[in-house]
Amino acid sequence: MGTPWNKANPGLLKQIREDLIEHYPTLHAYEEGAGIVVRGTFPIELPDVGTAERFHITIVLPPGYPKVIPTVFETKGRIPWKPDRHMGEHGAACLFVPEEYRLKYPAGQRFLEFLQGSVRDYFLAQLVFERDNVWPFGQRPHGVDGRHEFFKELLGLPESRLVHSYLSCLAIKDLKGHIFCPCGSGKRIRECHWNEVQLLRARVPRRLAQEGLDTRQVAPARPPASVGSSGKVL
Amino acid sequence: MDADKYLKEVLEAQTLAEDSDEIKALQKRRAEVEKLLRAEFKDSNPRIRYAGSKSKGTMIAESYDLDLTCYFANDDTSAGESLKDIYNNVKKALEKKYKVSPKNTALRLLGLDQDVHGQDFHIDIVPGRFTDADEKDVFLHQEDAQKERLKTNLDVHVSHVKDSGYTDAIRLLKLWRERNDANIKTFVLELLIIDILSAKSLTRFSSQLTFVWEQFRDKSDQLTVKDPANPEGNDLSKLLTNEVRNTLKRVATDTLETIDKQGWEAVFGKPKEGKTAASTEALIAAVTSRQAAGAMKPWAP
Repeated sequence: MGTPWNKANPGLLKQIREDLIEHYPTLHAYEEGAGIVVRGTFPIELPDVGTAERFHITIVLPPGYPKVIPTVFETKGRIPWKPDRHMGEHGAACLFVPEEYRLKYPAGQRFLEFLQGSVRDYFLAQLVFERDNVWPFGQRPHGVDGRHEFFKELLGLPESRLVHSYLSCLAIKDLKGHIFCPCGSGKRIRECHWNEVQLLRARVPRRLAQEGLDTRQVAPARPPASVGSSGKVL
Repeated sequence: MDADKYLKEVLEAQTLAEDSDEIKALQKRRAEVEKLLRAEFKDSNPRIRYAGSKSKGTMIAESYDLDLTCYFANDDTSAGESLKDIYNNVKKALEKKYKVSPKNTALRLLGLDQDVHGQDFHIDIVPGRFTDADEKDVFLHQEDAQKERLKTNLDVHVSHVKDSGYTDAIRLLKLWRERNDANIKTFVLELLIIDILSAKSLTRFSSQLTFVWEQFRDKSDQLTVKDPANPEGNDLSKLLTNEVRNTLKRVATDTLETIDKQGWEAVFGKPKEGKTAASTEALIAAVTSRQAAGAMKPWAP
């Protein structure tokens, strides 16, 4: 394992701390183990209301941050730990399909943008769901189905069953015209969707397509040692 | 606004009136628990009293627990021969109505709905037995500690905090702990605050809080606490771990910098934070702006 980001780039940790003091003064960055853990309460600010709610959270910034996605935990049991609430069994908040985040932010995000965007969207959505039983930004199906739904949208496919064959095409290093078209027509790709697939290859990184082909179930994230099995910060 | 005037407003907003819904709910829960315990231990007449912030005058609306004692007379063995028996028998009695999570000396009551993770009534019952017929000192069973028996005295604890002259500073610092999710036990935080403030004569809230945070920031490794009810026999150092010290230092450092750069309101927010329910319009406005920005959909592995 290489040098953790906070050792290799102490300026980034300093920037995170300055951003927190300015924008989220009730969140604090601690050095724990090989990474950084941000802990405190996350406010949901609304126009004309001010702070509508605060969530107790812990965010793990792993040694590979910012390329490795931070993991967010809701630590007070405020949100039930149920897949239907997009919460993993250890209180891990399932903010998005990981491949969607990686496509949107290939080099990772500035931590402040992550808080103001993905983290806020998730907890705002939880508030709306509690009130109206509706996910305001929509929701993904659980597991592989949710990841395939994302790729279906991304690739503009009419059916989920085509996701695997298209991703296989996008994952090939040198695409040859004689292979069968991923659309399932039975024709060679050069006589069918060659141009469309080439456009997709320009848009979707090969590595992301390879990740999309991995249908192994993603293990739920586990909280750091400083968060007990109940989710409560020790 | 003057810092002290602002902090007084924060305190007022954190005060629960005796006729408030929250206090009524607390009283109702207490009555339920008391009825259950008295029915289970009808030969014993256990002393069931408020302990914790309700008795010390340090309750804050944002976060409070109901702490109740369940102390048995020194010569009473009907609830159990040993302290451990008492602890387990009180636990068994409470389990007839609640899911019970054992803590070191207390029993925490959770709801019975297994589907709701973290459903927590925020009620702690502390079983114990008086050391003698005077019914002042009490022995508690310790579930997690090496020493099974802990001698303590609720009245000494209550008066140490209640009569300290610093209950308002304690309430503000408990709110600070809650807002920053600082992992320090209430009892330890109270003892530290009283100890620190007793060393200096400060009357303004803002000066008191600043002084406490400066001590947390600059002397976190020198902080010590002693149980006023049992200074030599009850070692509280295990509650002031390096992790707790680091947390106090980090949060205090950030807080002082926040005040310096942005003022007090950045630390405690608007005094009436959370009192206004989010309107549908406010939620729609927030959601709409994020829909346009391409908010991602939540998922589950």
